[in-house]
Amino acid sequence: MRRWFLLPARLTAWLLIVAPMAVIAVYSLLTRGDYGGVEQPWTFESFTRLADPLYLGILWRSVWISAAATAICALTGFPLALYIARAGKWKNLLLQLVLLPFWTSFLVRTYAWLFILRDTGLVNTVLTGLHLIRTPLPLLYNDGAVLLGLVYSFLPFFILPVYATLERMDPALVEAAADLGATPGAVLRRIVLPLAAPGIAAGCVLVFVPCLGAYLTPDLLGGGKTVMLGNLVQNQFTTARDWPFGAAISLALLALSTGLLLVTRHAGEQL
Amino acid sequence: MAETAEIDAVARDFDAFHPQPELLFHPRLARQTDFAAGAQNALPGDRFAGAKRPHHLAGSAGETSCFGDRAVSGHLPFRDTADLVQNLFEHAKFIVASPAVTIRVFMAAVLQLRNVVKEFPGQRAVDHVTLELERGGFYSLVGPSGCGKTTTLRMIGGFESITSGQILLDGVDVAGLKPWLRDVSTVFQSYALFPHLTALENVEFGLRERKDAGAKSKATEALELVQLSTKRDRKPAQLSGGERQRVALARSLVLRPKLLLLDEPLAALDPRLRGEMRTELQAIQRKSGVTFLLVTHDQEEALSLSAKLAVMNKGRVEQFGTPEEVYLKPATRFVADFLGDMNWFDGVGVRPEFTRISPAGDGLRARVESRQFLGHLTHLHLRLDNGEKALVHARPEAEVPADAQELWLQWNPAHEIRVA
Repeated sequence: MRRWFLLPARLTAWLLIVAPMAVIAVYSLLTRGDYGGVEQPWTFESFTRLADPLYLGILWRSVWISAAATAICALTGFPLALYIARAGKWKNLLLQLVLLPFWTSFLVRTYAWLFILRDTGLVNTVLTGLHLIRTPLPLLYNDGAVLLGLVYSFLPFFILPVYATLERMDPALVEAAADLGATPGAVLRRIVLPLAAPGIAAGCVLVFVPCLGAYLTPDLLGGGKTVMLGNLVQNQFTTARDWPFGAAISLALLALSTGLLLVTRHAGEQL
Repeated sequence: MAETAEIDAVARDFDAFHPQPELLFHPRLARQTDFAAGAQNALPGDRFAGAKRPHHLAGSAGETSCFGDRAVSGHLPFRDTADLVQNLFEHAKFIVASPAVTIRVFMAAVLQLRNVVKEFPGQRAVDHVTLELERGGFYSLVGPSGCGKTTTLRMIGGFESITSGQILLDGVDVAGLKPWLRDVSTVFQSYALFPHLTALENVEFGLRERKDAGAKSKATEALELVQLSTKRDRKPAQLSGGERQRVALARSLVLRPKLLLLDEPLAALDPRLRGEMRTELQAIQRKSGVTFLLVTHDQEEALSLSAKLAVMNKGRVEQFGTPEEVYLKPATRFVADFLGDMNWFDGVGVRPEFTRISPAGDGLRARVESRQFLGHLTHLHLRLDNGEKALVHARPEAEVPADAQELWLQWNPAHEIRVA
């Protein structure tokens, strides 16, 4: 009986997770065809090419932009999560506002930034109108624009798990700490932050991992100048017509994310 | 200036005469006393009504006021009895100046609430509460839920602001101070132990905030006081309810607060453990010497634990007195009904244990509606001729016929309770 009930779940897992991964793994070990696709013979060449300084540079850029985006999300998201968790009757409304952007398309939201940041966009128009600047500021098509876009997109993924841990925390703990002589700063450092640590770790992973593989944001806001791993993969499957190499980069990205997850989980168990 | 030996002798005298510290009187120095009958039951604060209160002196454990001809002649700080006598001798001039001098010594109030009011939108939760707690006592605030007792406790702890009034801790108004600046500590109903810290680390928490160099040894001692030394390295999740409570007690007591507030400390324990913890709470209070103020809705807990209790109703203190006073001489009908069962016979109250049954046929006639045999007592639920209910706790020797349908009730007029 039980196996029949589990069949749909098994089918889904195999069709949507295991099978595509197997295809990617097989592709990464083949040779590129002249017009895309893959051909024999089997080779490890795609993986050895990953060590090329050009690609290592892109990997490094992806890691630091993702790390910076995670750090900014943490620094802005934690106070926000704390504020929402203590907002009493406004709690649900504020939480809805955090989730509101998900109601519109990711693509549309990222495009909106183009209209805000470009030379004839909102910010530059206002600043020139006020005679604060004479020439438009270069707000678009650089690392800063990509970083901004990533923080904007993934901030809710940091806020939600942190909010969940803070919301579960007994408010009497904060009162008890204050009662025992802890100033608000000490309460934050010695009670709230240690207890919110699992949520913060989850939030960091939820921001860092998708940032690492981000494609749309660097493509639109980086304007092809800020290439990240996601763009490199896309490039290999389209213009470069090098499917095996694209597959190899995807697997490398997967390995990086999985490794990171294992490390955070191990750290979580130590806490 | 007297000789040290003489001072010591007087001090011994003093202690032998007056074991209770809140009211001391030295026969050698005072020729006449004016302890009026009513004064005995009143608060020290009330006795000084009209006179200027001695102001608080830093570092003193108590104060004396010397009355000559009903006027405050002077006040002296003292640490203990020997210190007091020393001070009296030093100031002997004005003590012997009057032929009729009364010396009253009282332990200074550790906490005074003066007309404290707390208003929440649309309701007054605490309505002009005035209370005075003496150092080293065990006090309770008792009342039904919503009577304002927890709000009062939270205002003393600093977790709620006050709308008006004064909260004096050792004579200093602390109403505007944040919780971390007040020398009071709270044992929370949920215990609020820090789940990521061990028992020992929990107890050390406050000491570390104060940069106390001896934090670890003091915390270890405090855990010994509550008999938890063997479980010092356990996290709260690995401790039982009773053990968690004792960690919470140790965590607060280790800071030697002027006042320990306990919010329904026994409510979360199972009934068997509750009895044990009651005895232990009393022992810990005596050993530590810290003033305890406990909040509870359980009248039995309040009566059995405290030296004095304040019965609260609708934001007001209806009565503040010893357990015997509030139980045997309730000031209001609410207090009488709240602290135990009560039979009302034409506005006169008689407790069930003082209501006697007489088979002889004189007294108030009552019909037996039901009976519950409890071993040491039998509860008889009765209905009077006027339709009112009555309850009698009949002792085994009362020999109530098992099939009795009608009984007659009597009582000793000394046990009658008359309330406003």
